[in-house]
Amino acid sequence: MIIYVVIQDTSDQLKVEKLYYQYRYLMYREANKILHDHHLSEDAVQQSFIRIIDNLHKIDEIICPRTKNYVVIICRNIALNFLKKRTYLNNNSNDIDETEINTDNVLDDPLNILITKESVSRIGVAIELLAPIYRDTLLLKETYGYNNQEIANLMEISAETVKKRLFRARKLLIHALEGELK
Amino acid sequence: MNENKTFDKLIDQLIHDAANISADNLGQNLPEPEPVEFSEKHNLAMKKLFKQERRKIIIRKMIRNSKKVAILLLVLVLTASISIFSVQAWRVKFLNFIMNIGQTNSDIQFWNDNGSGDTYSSDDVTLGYIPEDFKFVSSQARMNGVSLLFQKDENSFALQIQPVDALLAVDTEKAEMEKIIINGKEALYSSNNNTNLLVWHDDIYSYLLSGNISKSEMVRIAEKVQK
Repeated sequence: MIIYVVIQDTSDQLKVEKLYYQYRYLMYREANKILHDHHLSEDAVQQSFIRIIDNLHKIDEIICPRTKNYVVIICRNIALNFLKKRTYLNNNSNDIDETEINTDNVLDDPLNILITKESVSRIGVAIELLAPIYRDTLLLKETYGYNNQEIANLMEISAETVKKRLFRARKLLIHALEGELK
Repeated sequence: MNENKTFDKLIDQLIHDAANISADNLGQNLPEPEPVEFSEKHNLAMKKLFKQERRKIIIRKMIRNSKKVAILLLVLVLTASISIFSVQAWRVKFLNFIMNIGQTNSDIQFWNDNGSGDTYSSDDVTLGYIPEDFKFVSSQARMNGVSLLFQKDENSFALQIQPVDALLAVDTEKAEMEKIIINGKEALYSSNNNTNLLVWHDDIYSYLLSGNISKSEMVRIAEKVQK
């Protein structure tokens, strides 16, 4: 029985390692773009995999664009967390706040929106053009099945902030639909 | 109000569908990076991480499987217990087995009045030997003594015990008589047609064994009676 258990386990073990060997350079590159530090970037990759292991059930295929995007999102946000800590230590916390967009002036009026067959692709394009903090939050929620608390833990922010980001992202996307109509 | 809700639901669905498509597109558009030389420290840390995870998974699976095995064993033990204790013959054999463990030369005693098998015991008397398959039928208190009846099919025997100074009435008409020794004491054996009798004493009690079992069986029973 023990041997059977070990054999059965091999598939899960290989999944984690396969992911690592498939995407480690990509993740490193993503982390290095933010951190500009070799060792910190390595740490970000390592930390990312600790997170990924806890959410292995969210990954179906190893080699697919969706999984590729997922590991990049995880690594990017881990790297941003490292940057936040380093920036906080350097007393430059303002840099982080500037990435948030104020959407209070963004109006969405259902009457100004026409839903057509192309609406999905329009919104898709709009998502791809969103700032990373909104895009990542939205994709983690909608595509990768994370709940608000899980996103908050990953990004080291409060669940309230996650809600705000999702709300703002939604507003921006609706505005994008209105923009198309105009 | 309902229109706004419908609109929100529609938008949410659109966003959900579009998000899935975007995730695929973004993944496809990511460029292939160049290989990087990771440090030895990083490589070791990753190996350690994978080893830890492997161990966790194995332990988790073993715990899950052992729970299943434990439940299965419990069900088997319960089923076996119910079967054993609901069938008298099995119950007796099982108790015999349990009591024999760790003992070398012991007499097995059943502390109930429905004794069957090779011995019988009650508050009054212990029979260290009973012929095979004889079952206890009844007991009667008589004066200062007791009378026990055992039976197997058409065969039976009775053991009557009373104080040694009490009178024992025995029918020996046309019977063949024989003196024998039981536990160092003089005993009398009588055989008449189908009825055999064995009478003996131990200074405190007198015993009368009567029935249609053989002389050798009677002697065996007599030698193992304890009052």
